[in-house]
Amino acid sequence: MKFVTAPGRYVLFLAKSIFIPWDIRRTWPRLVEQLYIHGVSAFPVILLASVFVGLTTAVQTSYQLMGIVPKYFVGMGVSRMVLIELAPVFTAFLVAGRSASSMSAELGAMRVSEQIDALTVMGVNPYRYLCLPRIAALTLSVPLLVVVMEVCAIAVALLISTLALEVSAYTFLYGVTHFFVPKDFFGGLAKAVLFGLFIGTNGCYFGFGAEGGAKQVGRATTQAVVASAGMILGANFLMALIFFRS
Amino acid sequence: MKRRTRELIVVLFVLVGIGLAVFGFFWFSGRLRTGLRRNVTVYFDNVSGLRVGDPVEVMGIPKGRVAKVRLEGRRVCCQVALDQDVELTQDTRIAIRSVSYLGSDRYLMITLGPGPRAEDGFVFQGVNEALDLEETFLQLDRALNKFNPEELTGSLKQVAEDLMARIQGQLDHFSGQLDKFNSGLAVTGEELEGLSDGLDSLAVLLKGESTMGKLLTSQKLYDEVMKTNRQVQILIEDIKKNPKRYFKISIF
Repeated sequence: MKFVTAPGRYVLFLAKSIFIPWDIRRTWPRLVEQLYIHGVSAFPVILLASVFVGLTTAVQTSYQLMGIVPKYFVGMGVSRMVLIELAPVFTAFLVAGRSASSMSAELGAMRVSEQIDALTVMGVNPYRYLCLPRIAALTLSVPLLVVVMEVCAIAVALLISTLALEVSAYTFLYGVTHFFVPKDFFGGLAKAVLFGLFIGTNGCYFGFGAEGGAKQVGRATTQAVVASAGMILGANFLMALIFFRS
Repeated sequence: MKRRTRELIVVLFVLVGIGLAVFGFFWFSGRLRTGLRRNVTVYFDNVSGLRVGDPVEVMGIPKGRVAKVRLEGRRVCCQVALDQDVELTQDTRIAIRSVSYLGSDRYLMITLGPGPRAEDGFVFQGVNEALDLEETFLQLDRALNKFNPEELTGSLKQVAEDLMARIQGQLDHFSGQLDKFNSGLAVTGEELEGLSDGLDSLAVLLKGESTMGKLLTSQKLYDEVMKTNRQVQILIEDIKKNPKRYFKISIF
């Protein structure tokens, strides 16, 4: 029964967190703090991951296509793979592993130590105080990090193709630009917005739902990450149906 | 960290992200170029899937993008953003082509002519040379339908008869050559018979009934010849050692 009502409770939680007066003046400092924790601090790991995404994608695409189709298809393959799939999903997974876990652990600890109840008693809306800045920060951070990964990964792929894979920069960029479809770029960003929303909501939802002691906090953390991964994959498929169906 | 510093870093992060998004979009779409572009208007009867952003190549070099595609009455008006350094002539040929053999992606191919320079505002009429698989198959189907099977059968019969006549002629010629070869072979057989007789006579000679045969087959004669040979060798050696025994030379 709990499993059946879970989607409803999830949507209700999201509505309670978002559809409230935002009170920008009070929310702003906490939003900045969360943007710093989940966006700026994730920058180095995303940068590192994007370097390897670019390197691997270029080598793999070249291995798959070289000798079968013209060389500029390497640029096409790399750019479309990165824009449509790799950058949004990879970034979302990294952020989910990093932020959903920390958020649910933090909020779970607050829940079991009755800090959230104390906020309610003091007349502070815990959804607006705790959830809104986190969800908003994640929804904003993930697309920005996705863009960073996209540009960095394609730039690294261009570099490795030129230096080691015998594909000139002109040929590579010809493939990138020739087959570029704006829908790929904006579709990837739309995915990222949705993924960010899910990661933020999961982190808060499972943290708020923690009951008991430290064990339940750990369980909530695991649930937040697993649910985020599942929802990212599910949403990715649905977005593929919406944006990239031929 | 101070609140102000943190705010500054976050704002910077957001600005960098937005900036990268804008830069990335212009970079990936090939719009990141220096220099202004000018618009050229081309009309087509059918663009068969040409889209905004598709590349434009002048003599094989990427020099622009398709900026707008819209329907105007029964024609399609296409705005092409071209680099400033491209000087179009009035007889410029503008064609829609397919990038791949499957015909899914399009580009505009511009071929400059020798005519006078086209001033700004000159309107071009383009042609669609993109590979349309459906149209190609339809044309193939129409061509097949035009075939007359009876006519084709008659032609094939004629060809078969001609072929049979030629083969018969070749067979006759080959048969004549084979007869000639057979007669030559008979003469050669007779000559071989003569040779065989000669060899038989020689064999008889060597068997021992003749003098030569006896000489060749007598063991006693062989032993005697060998004995004589050894004695002659001994004699020669002795002569060499003691020549004075056998030769006495005196001048006075």
